Amino acid sequence: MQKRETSCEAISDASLIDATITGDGEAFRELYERYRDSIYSLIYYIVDCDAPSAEDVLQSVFIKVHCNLHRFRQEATFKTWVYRIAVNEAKNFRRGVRIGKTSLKSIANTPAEFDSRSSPELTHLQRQRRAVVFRAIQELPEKYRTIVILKYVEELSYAQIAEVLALRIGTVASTLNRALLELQRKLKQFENLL
Amino acid sequence: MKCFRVDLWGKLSDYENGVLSESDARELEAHFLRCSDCKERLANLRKGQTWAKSIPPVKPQREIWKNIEAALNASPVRRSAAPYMSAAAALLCAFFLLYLLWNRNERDFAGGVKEMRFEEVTIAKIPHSSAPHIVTEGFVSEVHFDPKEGDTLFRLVENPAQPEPFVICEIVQPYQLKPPPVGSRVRVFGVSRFDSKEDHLWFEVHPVLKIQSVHQ
Repeated sequence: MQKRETSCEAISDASLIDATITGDGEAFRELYERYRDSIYSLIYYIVDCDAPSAEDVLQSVFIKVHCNLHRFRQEATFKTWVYRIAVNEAKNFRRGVRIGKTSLKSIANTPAEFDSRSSPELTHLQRQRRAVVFRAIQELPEKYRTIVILKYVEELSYAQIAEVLALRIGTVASTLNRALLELQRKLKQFENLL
Repeated sequence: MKCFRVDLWGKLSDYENGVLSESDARELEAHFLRCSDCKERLANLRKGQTWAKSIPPVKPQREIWKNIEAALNASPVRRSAAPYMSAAAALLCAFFLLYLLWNRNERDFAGGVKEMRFEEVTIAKIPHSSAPHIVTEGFVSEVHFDPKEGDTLFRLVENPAQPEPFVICEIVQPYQLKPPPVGSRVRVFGVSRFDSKEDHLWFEVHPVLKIQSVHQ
């Protein structure tokens, strides 16, 4: 495989898609690397913060993307198309697996035990905040959780979220409102961490 | 007092994000002056946003590209066809499915598996091998079907009298191979991976790409 002369960032998704369709495996790898982390975040939260499951779903998402790439029409952006596949795959996964949950109350006094990603630069307060947010997110209904992650972690616009979830923009706004109010209701007892 | 101006609730996040039209924003602000319920709703929404903004993005802890690449190389649709080829591809897929139904044991995915290079490794040495594609040999000690996932798993051991060392072999869709019978000796071709789920923590051949019977 010839090494690309231009940097990855300079190549558009459309060019990489075309190259992938014509059999350039390296082009697909670039698409994968471009979207891997953001898609993983979305899946991770939908599958109840279970890293191994999220990695399995991530794998099947990209296999599905590759197999269906020739069906991708440029009417949607590649990004929202991949997000849509990821949301569907993660939801399908959840339907097949019952994941145990820990209640928020049970971790109220044990804020440090949760976070395998905690790093030295995080303050104790940040770690506590992250702990309760992780749990609260897991307790949100799936549709609320998905929309909150798409908006605040993936930073998608209302229009993009509407495209990913096949909803009207107005429905996205109202669902997001309800999700945020529910999140706040669950975390009310931890307001001192804000 | 409980407010029933549902029409205004939907505008709160637009107001908060500064994208509400000036006239709507003025109407909302006038409403806030006389409605403590909506003022509290806005305050809660702001707190909810603050919480939501503190959700951190996460990154995968292991690199899975090799698994994806291996699965794509083994797949019958290994390279996406050009759009004008889709009808031909559908026809080919139909023939391919018929072929699979008739050759369930000796499936090699139209040569995909034959083209791959599988590192020969004993079950005990799998943890020390970094090869993505392996072939290993052993006795089938258990076979399970997972109805939720639709996958079939079997446990391969070096010595049928001893439970370890072992490797779990997973037959997944679309590679629906016929599982070997318990007690048989087989050679299993597939992708080597480690299952790090808390209650698993074992090495796997996942997906299994080919199974060969070994006549003893």
